[in-house]
Amino acid sequence: MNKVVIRSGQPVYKQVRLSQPGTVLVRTGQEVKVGDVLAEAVIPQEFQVFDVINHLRIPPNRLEQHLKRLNGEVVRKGDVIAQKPGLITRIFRASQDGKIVSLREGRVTLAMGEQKLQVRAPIAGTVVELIPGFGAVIGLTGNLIQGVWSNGHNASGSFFHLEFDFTDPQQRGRLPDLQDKIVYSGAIITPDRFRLLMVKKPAGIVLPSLVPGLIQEALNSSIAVINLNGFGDQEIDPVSSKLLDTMQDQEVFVLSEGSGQSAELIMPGEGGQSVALFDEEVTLKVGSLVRLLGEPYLGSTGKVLELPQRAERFASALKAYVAVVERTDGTLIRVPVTNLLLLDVNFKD
Amino acid sequence: MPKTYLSLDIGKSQTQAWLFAQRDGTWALQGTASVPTAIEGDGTQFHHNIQQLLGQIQQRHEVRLLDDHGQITNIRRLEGAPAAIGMSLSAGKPIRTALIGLSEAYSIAPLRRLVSLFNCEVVLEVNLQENLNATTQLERLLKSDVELYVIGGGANGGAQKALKAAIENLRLVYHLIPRAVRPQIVYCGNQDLAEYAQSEIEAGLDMHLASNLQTNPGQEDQTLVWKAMLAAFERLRIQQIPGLADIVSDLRTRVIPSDFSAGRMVHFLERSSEKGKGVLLVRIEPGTVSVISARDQVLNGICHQLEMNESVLEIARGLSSQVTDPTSFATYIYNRNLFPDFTPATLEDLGIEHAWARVRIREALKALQQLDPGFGYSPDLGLTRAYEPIILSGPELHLAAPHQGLMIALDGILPHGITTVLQDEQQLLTALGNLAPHDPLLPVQVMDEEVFTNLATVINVDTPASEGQKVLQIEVNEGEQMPRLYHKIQTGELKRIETMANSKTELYLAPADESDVGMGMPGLGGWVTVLDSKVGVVVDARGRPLSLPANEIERAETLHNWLWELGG
Repeated sequence: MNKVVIRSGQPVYKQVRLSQPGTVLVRTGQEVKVGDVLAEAVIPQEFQVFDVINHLRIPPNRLEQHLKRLNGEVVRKGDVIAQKPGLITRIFRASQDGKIVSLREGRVTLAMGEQKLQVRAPIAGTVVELIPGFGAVIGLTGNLIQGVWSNGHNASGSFFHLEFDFTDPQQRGRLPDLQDKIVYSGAIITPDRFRLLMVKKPAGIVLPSLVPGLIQEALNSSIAVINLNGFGDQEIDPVSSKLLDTMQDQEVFVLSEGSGQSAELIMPGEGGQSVALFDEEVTLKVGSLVRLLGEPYLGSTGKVLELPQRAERFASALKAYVAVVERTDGTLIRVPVTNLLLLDVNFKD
Repeated sequence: MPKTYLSLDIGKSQTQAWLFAQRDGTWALQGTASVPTAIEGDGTQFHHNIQQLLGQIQQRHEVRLLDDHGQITNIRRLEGAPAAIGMSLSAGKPIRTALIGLSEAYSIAPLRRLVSLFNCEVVLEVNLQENLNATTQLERLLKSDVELYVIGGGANGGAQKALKAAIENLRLVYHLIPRAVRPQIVYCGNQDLAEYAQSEIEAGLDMHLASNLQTNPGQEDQTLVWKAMLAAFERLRIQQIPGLADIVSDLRTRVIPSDFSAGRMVHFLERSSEKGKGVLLVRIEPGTVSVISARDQVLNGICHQLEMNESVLEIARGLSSQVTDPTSFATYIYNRNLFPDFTPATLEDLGIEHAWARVRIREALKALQQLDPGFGYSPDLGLTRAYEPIILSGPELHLAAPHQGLMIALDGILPHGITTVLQDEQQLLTALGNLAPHDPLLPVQVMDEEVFTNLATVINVDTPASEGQKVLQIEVNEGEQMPRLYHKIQTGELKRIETMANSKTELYLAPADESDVGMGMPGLGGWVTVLDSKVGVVVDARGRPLSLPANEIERAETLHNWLWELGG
């Protein structure tokens, strides 16, 4: 069952890990701030392979007498590694500080420089778990809205609900200052409007939905974009809307699971671990709040009134298990259970 | 208790189990069950779901799969457990693969064909003939974040220098960069260097040696490398999917790629067929289409994921039997991608769904053609080589009635000549492929029971005749008691002829002089005997490429009429 969490005072856990083994630099219980390095791996910056036999024109059986360094030795920039004396002396020197990592078949491989791969905390919180060799899990409590799609960027900033009438010619060119803010707009964002927003250099943009024509542009953007409901022209649901209201002018974070993946909008809150940590898993049942995923009700919400145990046939002639849903406007509809997104909420509209 | 075998397939969205039992010396399917696939997380959910799946099978059938506490345990300790368990997997991201070979034609291209059955995504190709300097080669190998390296190339006893240098670079890549998932290395090149590669790279169990993929110049035998590829696949997936190692160990099984497993059966069907044609499997899953072909005893396959963009969406929109505006069409497809379990409830949704499936099949066939130039597919003309049967499979086909599924396949594949289209509704090819090595009799006996749904016999008419001209006359003999029926087929027409229930129907095909119905040459006809099928005999004289009106309303109407002809 598809599900999104829209909750206040929700424990949030964010796993941060290196793509390759390294050293974890934090400990359990440690408070971390945004940008703190949690783990790092050190790898050579570059390599150089030098074919001593061919480049210095040395007979293979006399290779050893021309090599000046051994495998594993640390070298400094300019150090002679191989040398062929003669009328014109041929020399192979280290071009940077480094280490000989291989010496085989007449080829010398140098690992040079140092490159640190680091992972940093995308949000402030407490380290609740270490992932040995790779990173840590940061825990915090806050108001959380999960979005179904993002462009892969994380961001933080002051939350700003932009109530701007893009259709009003009087307001043209009068977009407020959005720099470094996480901006939410409930208006339909066309490509032109998207570009107008981008010019204002916000830290991130939160939208109820994204028109398909904007997907590529959003993916190419360096500004974080999170889409709460999906694609098309969908309105924000009342529960998310109310929770967004609590975020106005507060510092919020957009944490993405990756390009084209889901993301979370988080406003860190007060207090420690909530009792919600021990809540049972939320499943679809009578009374559940749901979002509708298909036309003609795309994006609208309702409450499950009934979950019949028999599959029913739809206009498409396909059979599916259904839920009877009362929409917010009072209409009753029968929808395939697969076409519902369960809203895990604790915040009543 | 009867002797049983269990097959498991960890699919992209569902994990399925099939139980087979032997009664009176004959194997038959006893039952199936499925649960959602859950490979994310720490393995707890994965273990729980597999346990639930085994529990469902145990509850409904005469077999023991869990211990007294309902837990997964060492299967060998259970009395009444299956004699063997086979397991396949298509879940998880494709394996990031680097191909290293001596030349494009003799090593890189065969390596591409080899890895395509193993859920691999080729992220790097190193052609040693390009004479990259050793430093650049090493940098490329290091930066590509590769999980599987496959080295091929070179005739046995042939030149060694370039391969040796690549092997040395691989040694550095393997040892210098720490990885969360230890990369696997498959060596299938010049055999004179096999031992050298093993001792040089020092990768222990992560190194898999195989015979030379290239048996003679220009000739390849992928089967020689399958064992090594399977071992590498299993070691990678066990590292990548938490909980899989325990399941594999407790169930005393091995895990193989789902496409490879189904490919085994496609290969078997082709070898046992007397028609001299290839066998084709098209499996439509959420997000991917797998096409597996066996022809002249050679198996090739691809798991293709279509990249969504405006142009491909517009092509798909042009193949919908409903008129949908571009934004609504794109919105549906993008949302469908977010929620793969979505059920198309309206006719418009269904039209979009089926149009998208057509394009996905076409693009997958195109990709297989690029991989295997002998496959015989052209985007305009369709599948020009003879394949029979064409088997349709995959959960996405459950979103179509039999005639709709057939229509998607016809428009997607555009076959030529006469062929039979079957549907593997229970995904048995994968299930049987998992168990074939344990008991070769099992798949043979199960398939003898006509476990596949016969969708239709398709007769395609290739003709240069213009629209509306008569190209084929058909005489239908439904038995001596029944009157003979006659049908005239014109260019542009799609015609359905019902078959006799539980009986054979004979058709006499009399094509016009320049019309080819796949009997060997244009104008040549003859008697064809067809079995009862869900849709019947479908005569396709629409031509290749399909000619559709430019006006979108007329186009949708044409597509709708064709669908209507097949059953509404």
